[in-house]
Amino acid sequence: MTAEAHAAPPELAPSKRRGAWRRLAETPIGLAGAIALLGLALMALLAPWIAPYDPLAQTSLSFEPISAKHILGSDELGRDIFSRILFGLRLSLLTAVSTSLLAAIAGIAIGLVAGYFGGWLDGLAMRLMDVILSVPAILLAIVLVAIMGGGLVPLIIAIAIVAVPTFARLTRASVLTIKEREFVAAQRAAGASMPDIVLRTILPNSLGPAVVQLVITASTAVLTESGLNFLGLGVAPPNASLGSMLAAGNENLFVSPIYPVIVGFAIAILVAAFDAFGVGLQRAYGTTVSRGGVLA
Amino acid sequence: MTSIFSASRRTLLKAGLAAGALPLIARAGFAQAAAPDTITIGSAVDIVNFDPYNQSVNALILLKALNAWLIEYDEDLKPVPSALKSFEIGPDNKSVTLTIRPDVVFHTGKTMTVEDVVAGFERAADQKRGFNLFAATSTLVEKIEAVNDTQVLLTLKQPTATSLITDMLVHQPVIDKDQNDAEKLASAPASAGPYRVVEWRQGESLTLQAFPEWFGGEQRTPNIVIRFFTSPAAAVGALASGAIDVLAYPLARDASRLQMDFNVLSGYPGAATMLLRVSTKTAPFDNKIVRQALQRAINRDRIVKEVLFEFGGAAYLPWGPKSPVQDPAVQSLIGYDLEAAKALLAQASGISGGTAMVSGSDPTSLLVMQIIQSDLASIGFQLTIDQQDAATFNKRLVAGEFGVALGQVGGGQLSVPRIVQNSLMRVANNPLWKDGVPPAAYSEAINTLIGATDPAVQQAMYKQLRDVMIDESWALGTYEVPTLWAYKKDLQGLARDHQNSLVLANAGF
Amino acid sequence: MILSYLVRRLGQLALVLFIGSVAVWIMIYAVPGSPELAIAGPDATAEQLAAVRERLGLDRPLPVQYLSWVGGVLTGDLGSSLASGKAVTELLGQRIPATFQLIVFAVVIGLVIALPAGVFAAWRPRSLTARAAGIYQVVLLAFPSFWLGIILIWLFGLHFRVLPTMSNYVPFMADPVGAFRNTLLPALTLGLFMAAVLVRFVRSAVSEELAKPHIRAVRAKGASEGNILINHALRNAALPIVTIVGLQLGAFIGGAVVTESVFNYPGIGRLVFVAVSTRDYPVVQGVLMFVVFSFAVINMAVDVIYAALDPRIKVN
Repeated sequence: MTAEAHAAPPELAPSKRRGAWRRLAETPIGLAGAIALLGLALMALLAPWIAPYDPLAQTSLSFEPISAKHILGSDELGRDIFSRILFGLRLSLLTAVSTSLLAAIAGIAIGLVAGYFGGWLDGLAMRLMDVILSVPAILLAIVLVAIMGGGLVPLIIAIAIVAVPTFARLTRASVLTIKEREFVAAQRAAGASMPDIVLRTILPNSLGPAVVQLVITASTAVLTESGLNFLGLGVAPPNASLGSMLAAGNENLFVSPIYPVIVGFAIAILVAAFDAFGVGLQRAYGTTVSRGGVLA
Repeated sequence: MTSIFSASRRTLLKAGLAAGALPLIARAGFAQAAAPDTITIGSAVDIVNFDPYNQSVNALILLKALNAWLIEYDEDLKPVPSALKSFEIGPDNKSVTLTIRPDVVFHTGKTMTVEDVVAGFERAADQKRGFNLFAATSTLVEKIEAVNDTQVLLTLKQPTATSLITDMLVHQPVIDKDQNDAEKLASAPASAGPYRVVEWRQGESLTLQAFPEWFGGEQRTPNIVIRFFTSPAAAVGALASGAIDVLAYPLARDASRLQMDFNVLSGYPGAATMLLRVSTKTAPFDNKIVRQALQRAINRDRIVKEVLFEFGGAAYLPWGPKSPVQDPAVQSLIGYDLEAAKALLAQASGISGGTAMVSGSDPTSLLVMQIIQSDLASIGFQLTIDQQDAATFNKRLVAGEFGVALGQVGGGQLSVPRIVQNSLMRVANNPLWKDGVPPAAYSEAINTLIGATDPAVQQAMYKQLRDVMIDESWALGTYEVPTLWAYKKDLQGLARDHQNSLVLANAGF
Repeated sequence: MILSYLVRRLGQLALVLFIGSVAVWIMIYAVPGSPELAIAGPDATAEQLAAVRERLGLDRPLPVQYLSWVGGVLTGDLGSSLASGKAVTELLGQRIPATFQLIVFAVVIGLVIALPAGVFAAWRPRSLTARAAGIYQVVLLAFPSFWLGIILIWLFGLHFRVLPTMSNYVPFMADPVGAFRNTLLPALTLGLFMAAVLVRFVRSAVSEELAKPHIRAVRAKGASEGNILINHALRNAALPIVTIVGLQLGAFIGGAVVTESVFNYPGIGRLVFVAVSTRDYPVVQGVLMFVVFSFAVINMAVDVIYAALDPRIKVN
């Protein structure tokens, strides 16, 4: 199950959005999340300088214990787990960010069109979204990855497709309320062109919940990615994402139980950072979009 | 047993986990300890059908349990009649007379006749219906006929090496002729093996029961349950916690750990060899020198030590360690030597990398390929790993649509030309070569060996094969595949045959 | 009004199923790799592969295959597995009870944790328990759900060696103890996780009720706190809680693919995963359609019941 969006009709006048970032800074949990994310992103960016080893170098024996030489031990090919986590963070962040951006762009576009035009187009688009939502995210992603082949890009596209309906529904709901407002009617009466109204007035006003959803999708993406990697569909070795490291850890559970434990915590820290940031954004925007959790 | 129980219980209580329920669960666990009349086997390989003509997908666990065969091989590959009373190879090795046993009863209830044997060979020789048996049967057999009520005569196309004949017979099952087609056998086996199928829950479990009319005598254990699993960790846990008695195909790393508490049965040496396949249709591997460089960049010793945990040895040629093709000199010609590999790459000039295809559901290949990748990177060759799901991997593999890939070849311990059973080792329609034509020296050696009975000719052809495999380097021996079974120490009589089919008739507690 | 709403929802359901069947069909056939290869084996010749395709009817044009499939579905025939020839309905019939039992166990575990924790947290929002519940929820949702399964396997299967880590489906009615033993680990994995999802809903639903004026009135009359919590707050909060449990069940119909794989539990998720990897088209189609159908029906049922029970919800 992916995110369940309980979209409250957003009551966002342009003035209310202005203080959102300032109010985010005032929610301690959101601030903590933002700082943690920033820290993780920095670690990922600076990985080549922070990492004690080349993440691909098979320098030691396999499964060396935690020691001064390898602060988190070594993996099945004698590579430094800490260095691999740092570089894995890059791939996981990349997956999370690009997945949510892709899903948001596609979902918002569908929601705008469906909401603004209504009619059969709306019906068809929303039923298609229903279909996507009715198949468990992991299951759908498995089929999509099988279609597109292995590797990072198909993985990102598959997870993004699964996340599109939530954005589409949210945006459509916003559009439906905003469409009826006086200022839109006034613009229409004043003879503003259709694309103008959609892009300049309706789109900016319906972005609020989508921004929150963006962060939620990012954390869901990290979890879904780890599930797909567990099933052997994912990042191509020797590179590793946190998800593919967890899969490798599970395969070696009997020999080195600490390995999957460490990687699990790394994933949890990343997801919790996204979640906290998301909660902060929610409070800042006054929306109630919440994450249901990824049951995989 | 009791001490483990109380210790674990105490520790658990200390850990404060579900304190109330645990003693009950733990006790129930030991109440449920393996019933002596059933052997439960966990298998990583799912069964998709029961057709023994289709052996590559039929799990090896079942071949010997469900089916009866004309003859069998003992541990030294000496033929022993099984569903046959005897067989006799005619003068000049141009014919074989098979005499059937009168007491072979199929699971369908019928008693085997010569018609069943004839129908079995006819199916094997049929392009559309013969599957794995087609290649050998159609190459060797000219005519199949029943001579009388107990004898079948096979007329061969040419004088044929004895080992090739027995290799064919040992893989020929006996099946009720009314049921002998792929569709019927898919879900209902109709041979005469020691066990018959009671219930099959696809992808979940298979329940077998001793077949009372089995011609081989009495089975030691009346019931066999096979459970299919996908996660290696869960399977190891299942063996460790006593939920299963035999774990088929544990990863070598797990097997080396399990050895402390369990017995480990190893596969027949050379039954399967892992090859680094090279598609000569794909750049840069269309260049022979690049392939030769690849050959020298495989650190087989490290693979044996760190991936196989010494359960399998290094391999240099596609044949098994005891095959007459083998020559100790090969190792020094193509062994691991990064300097030599680097020099060859320099000679090829302008080559910077290529692609390796790996199946995402094959953790061992993933490891091996990363070892090769890492070595190649150190000499300036970037091997990109392209991970595909198993079905896509197989499709591309047999189409030759890849750069390099790891793939098994079976039967390396059998007669040398039998290697062409593998589609990537064929002498015609070979997907790894342009227009399907492998090097002429290879095809010539294989074709000559089919009929060669003169040792001098055989030796010459073996040398020719070695030379062409080394020179053309498109099927690089990597390691002997360690086929393993881990099982409880009080289970006795578990065995496997020459092709690693599990032999269960004598197994029991 | 409720009737016309029902009719409209049924129309939507039909449309979802139609779009779903076409989408599933297109998707499956877009997957590279071929079922005949999985059946005939990697060493089969081109002629053998063609013979298998013909036998399975895969050589017919796609629209023809689709129509014959739809014709079958309308008469309750979902086709048969290409690999084994077994009817897809038979396979589903084996797996649905297994998945259902797992879900029920998981939901029970989830509720056993979430109900008391959520109610208490709503009652005493600043208590240690409330904070612990909040932390539990955040922490558990941050791990991949199957990670817990991995840890449980290591703990009970490999370290203490007391529980089977390769779970059979043992029907509860036939053997309650066996069912409990075999389903415990995967159910615990999913249940602990589900508790994290549920605890938030229980908490917010109950605290919403506690804030209402009539609770103050009951309290003024001198009712005990336990009475207030159970008989008034929790009872009134039951509808949203039941709804979220219903939705969780719906989400589970496709099985928990990864958790089922971790424990080797023979549920629907593993069936479809294996079918995808062997390109057993009819099985994938059959299961996906079953999932789409059940999910849509459950959602519709929840909405309709809601609309019927609660006049405040605008039927729209």
